[in-house]
Amino acid sequence: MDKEKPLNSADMAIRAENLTKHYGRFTAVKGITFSIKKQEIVGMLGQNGAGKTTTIRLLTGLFPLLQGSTVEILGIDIEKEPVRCKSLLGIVPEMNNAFLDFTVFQNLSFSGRLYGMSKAAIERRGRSLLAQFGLADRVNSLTKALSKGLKQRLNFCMALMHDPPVLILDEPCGGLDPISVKLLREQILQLRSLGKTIVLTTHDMQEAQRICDRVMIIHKGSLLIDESLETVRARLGGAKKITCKLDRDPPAGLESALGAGPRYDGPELMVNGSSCQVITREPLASMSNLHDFFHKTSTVVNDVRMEETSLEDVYCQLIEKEGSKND
Amino acid sequence: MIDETYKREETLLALKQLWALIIKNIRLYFRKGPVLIFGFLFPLFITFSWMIGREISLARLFIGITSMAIFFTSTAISPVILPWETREKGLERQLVSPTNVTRILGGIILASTLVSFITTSTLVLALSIGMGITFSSPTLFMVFVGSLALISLVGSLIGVLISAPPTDQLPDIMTLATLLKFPLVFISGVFIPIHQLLPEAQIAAWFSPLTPFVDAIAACVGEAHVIPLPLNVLVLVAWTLALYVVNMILHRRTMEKRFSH
Repeated sequence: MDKEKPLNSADMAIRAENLTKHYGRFTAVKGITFSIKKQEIVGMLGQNGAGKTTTIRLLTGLFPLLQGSTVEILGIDIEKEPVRCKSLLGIVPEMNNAFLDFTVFQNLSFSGRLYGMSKAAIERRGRSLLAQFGLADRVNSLTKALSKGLKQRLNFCMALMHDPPVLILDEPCGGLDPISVKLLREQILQLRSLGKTIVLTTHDMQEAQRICDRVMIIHKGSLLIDESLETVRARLGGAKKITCKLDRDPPAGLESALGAGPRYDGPELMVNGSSCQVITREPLASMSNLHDFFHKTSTVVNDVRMEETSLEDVYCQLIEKEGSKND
Repeated sequence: MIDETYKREETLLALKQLWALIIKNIRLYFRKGPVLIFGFLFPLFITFSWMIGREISLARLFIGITSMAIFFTSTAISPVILPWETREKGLERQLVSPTNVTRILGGIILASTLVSFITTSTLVLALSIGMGITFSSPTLFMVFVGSLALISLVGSLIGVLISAPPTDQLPDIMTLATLLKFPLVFISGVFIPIHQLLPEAQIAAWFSPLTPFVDAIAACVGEAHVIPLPLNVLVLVAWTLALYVVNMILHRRTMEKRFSH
């Protein structure tokens, strides 16, 4: 866990303490605690079923909190003042949640009314958001006639209607075309520049690396990491990633030849068919070991590449370590 | 002072939200296939199969058609909305906004009540003119209209109750609705006057919320009825309150399960 600076409560946009959720005997979220600073973009990463969406449902008040759990949005307790608290949140879901038989504007208008906005305010804010998200010419289109990318833009507009200071984006770019993804990423960065706090769940590590200031990795309902991007990168301490593409599956003995294994700072080997990846802090020594091993076993190397390690490497390494712990 | 202002603002917000929910429900669900089939076509065909080839007095026919129309219409819209919105994710969108289960259910119940009351009243008005049905006093006419409004509310509450199982499968809910609604129509004196039913069936009839309505409108149009008119109205009010309370308890319990997968 990141223990960089203790947060002052006035700086906090979200404070979640001991979030827990059981589905029958299965515990989907196991006592997760975190704080998010105002104007921060935090990426919530994890595999499918890791507990990200359940955590979000606890944060947004969709699921009641168990005794001993707390959620505060800008200092307001969601259990004590749910209406005020929910007014501070804007939520963009992974799947479209606009009414398909409503027009684009009817959907915006309904959202505005749920937040008590006047007709004039809805008109003004709605038109401005539609222009911002490239939907100005779709005002009267039926939502069901929109493509997936346009529906997701509409979801953004609906979430922003009441101009909330805190945004929760649940895999907002999942399955979208590159143009929509680019536009939505630009909008997310622009929202940050407007002072919004953003929680973003995603499977896309590059997206998280590009947009987020901080990442949380959730695995099997527990928070594995809650750190700034710099701290996460530092975990690999300037390690490099060597990728080799071979003419066949790597012969047995590669791991011992590399000196890879459970040693914390030793090289990490990942094999995927005829391709293998080594994450190492001693790239020259590892490269030399690889060369010797492949030479000895008469393995043909079709391609070899050395790169900087990324968030994805940290993520995969952590998840694999957790997996081997459980095994 | 701050508390009072806050409470006033929240009440105003609740009313605005309720109105937005009612309008949304009417616009989106009134013309859905299952609503048209179960709310309008079903009572129409049942009426035809009941009246063709039988000698039924105009007053009995009026009571039967009115009861079936209002009951089927009011119980057609309300069960559709929750499973539909669970599937389409609109329910989650509403629950994460500053509203709550009570307001969402209120929006469904009132939308269904309004639609069924207005459409059936129009039909009933045309029927009463066409059949020459008269009310012996303005008070009886007012009681008749009031009973129509109450049974619309009761029917809508029954519909919402049917949608309490936390499923997003509309056919499951419509099957449950059919299983419940048809026996109620048959035991409530719609086709055979209550006093002509078998003694056992007469006892069963009082477990149906439709019975006090049928008996009340029989009294309003001067037909034979079993219990006094004010008592029928009171029983309808009691059904309304009881169904409201049961709905709130059940839906608060099952709402979370709609998203627990």
